[in-house]
Amino acid sequence: MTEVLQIENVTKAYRRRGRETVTALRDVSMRLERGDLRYVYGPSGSGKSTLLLCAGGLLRPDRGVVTVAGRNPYALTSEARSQLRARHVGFVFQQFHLMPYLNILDNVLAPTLAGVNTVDPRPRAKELIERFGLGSRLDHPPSELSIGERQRVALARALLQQPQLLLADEPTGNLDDDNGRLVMDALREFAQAGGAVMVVTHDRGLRASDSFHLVDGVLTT
Amino acid sequence: MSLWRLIFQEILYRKIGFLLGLLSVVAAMTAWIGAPVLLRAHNRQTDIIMTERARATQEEMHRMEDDYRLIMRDLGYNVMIVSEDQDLSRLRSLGHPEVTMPFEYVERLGTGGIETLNHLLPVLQERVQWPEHDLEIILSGTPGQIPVSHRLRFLTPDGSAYRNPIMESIPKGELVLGHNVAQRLGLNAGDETVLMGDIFRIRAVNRAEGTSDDIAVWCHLDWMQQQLDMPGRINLILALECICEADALGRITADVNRILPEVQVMEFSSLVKARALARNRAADAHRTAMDAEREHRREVAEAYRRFTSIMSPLIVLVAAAWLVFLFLGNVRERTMEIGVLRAIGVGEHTILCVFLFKSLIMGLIGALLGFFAGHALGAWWVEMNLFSREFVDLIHFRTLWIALVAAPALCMLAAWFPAVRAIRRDPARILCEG
Repeated sequence: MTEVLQIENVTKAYRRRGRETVTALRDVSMRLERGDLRYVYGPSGSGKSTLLLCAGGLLRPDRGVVTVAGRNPYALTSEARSQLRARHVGFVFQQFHLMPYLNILDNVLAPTLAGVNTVDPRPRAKELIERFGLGSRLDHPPSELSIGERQRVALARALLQQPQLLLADEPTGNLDDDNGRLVMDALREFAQAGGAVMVVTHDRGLRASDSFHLVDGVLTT
Repeated sequence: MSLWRLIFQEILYRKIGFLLGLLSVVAAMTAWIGAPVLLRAHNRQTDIIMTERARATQEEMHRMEDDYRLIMRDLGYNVMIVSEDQDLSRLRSLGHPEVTMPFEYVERLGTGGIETLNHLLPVLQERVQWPEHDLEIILSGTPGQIPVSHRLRFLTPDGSAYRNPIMESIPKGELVLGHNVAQRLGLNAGDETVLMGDIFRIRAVNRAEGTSDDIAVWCHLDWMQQQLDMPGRINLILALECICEADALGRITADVNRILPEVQVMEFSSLVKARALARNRAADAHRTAMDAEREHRREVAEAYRRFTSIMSPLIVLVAAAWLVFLFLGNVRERTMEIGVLRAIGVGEHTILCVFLFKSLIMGLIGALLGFFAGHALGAWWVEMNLFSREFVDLIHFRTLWIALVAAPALCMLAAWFPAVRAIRRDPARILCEG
């Protein structure tokens, strides 16, 4: 099976007390297969992050079906859904969200807390860190890294468990051109190695041939 | 990476928050453990003080006993000699002997060469009515001391009298009154009074003794024998300041009975009583002082108990509230971390454990520190030496086990609500807000 992510007719609305309902996604459908690297463009408030969270099994849609690695995460218990994410989904955030009290190595190893590993994850963690050019800084805390270096650590963390699906929210939003290119190269490599990547961004500079547009919750190609 | 590493790294990173939490656990444990330790230390100190006082009292009593013995030895031993026909129980109930014996007995004792005798005082005593005042008195007649012939050093050169008699003779025409008699009749030394038709001058008034001596009226033996028609008779010989150091009564009795087999010898009950009384009074005084001390310390202990029974739960309660507040703060501070952990697949139970294990560590360290701080505080409060054997005896290691359960339980209870609140937060919402 080559299909990694399938989103079918997903609608998601936010109902806030005393305010009008905001529909973030309207009947959205998309598919990601192994080797895909898809961009979802859209302005702020268009529903990009909502789509990413729904795809990652973190935000239950009001309607429609999401399938990740062949399973509907919203049909699972909370713990099983966490396990599914731990095994098959990697997240990269615009703000990196590294833990300030852990060194680089421990930050990359953080996904092992989910307890899905059967082999020692340390060699792979070190290999990823080496690959992203931070091999000499294993013991450094995130506060001693540059912005670009932090994003590379976040990317290594997302790749540690060898997920099938990588979800990246504005991964180059805070980076300079060199670091942005480095990160995007890594995402491409991951896709070429058989993974599926969805990047949500408002950065038109990252345009690719096979991309989506999300405007007012409506996804178009 | 293990969960414990994450927890320890976080503790090291946010050490002030952890130390504040630890401080409140230590305070709670110190109050909780310190309260009974304080009472135990106080009771132990009380035991030590009372034991010390009892020992001091015992020593004082022994010292007093020795002092009395020495005093009595220096004073000599006072005995009374009465007729062998005298009923001793009647003697005690009447306060004076009834059966008379010849005056010649005292002369025989005086010349008998008895080593133990120093001073002899013959007396005739009779309970009579003072007719002029309608007052019952014990009329006591004595000629003064009869010389003991071999005690030359006490006697005048001609050997007929004592140079410094321990009891002066009463000249004819004079009386010495017992305290009660003088008081009842309003008589003082130097006054004149009439007894059985004769006029007397009051030579002296004896001080109150609390005995039958208080109703005695002392006069010259000859006058009394004449008045009562008992010529040559006496019924009591007082042997004063006898020389004895061991088995006094037995030795004197043997000496006296060798000369006068027809008499009984007994110790002055008043002196024996006085000695025992003095001893008992001293013991009573010590006992009263110790009882007062014990009562005072019991009251202090009760005050401690009342104070700690209010303060200890209050401190524990405040500490628990403070812990809840600190954990809430910690959860708030780590909201994004929780969201990211959830996103990368860390389950709710694991995140719950992050907070509960942290509280467990805090509780265990707090229990250990609080255990020792509680003991130290309790002992210090009652001024017990922390390096003494008594302090070591105070330590109940069973309490340590209880503390090692109670403190983590308190912390985990305080962390529970914030931790549950943390895992119930929607990770999607956290990530969106971040």
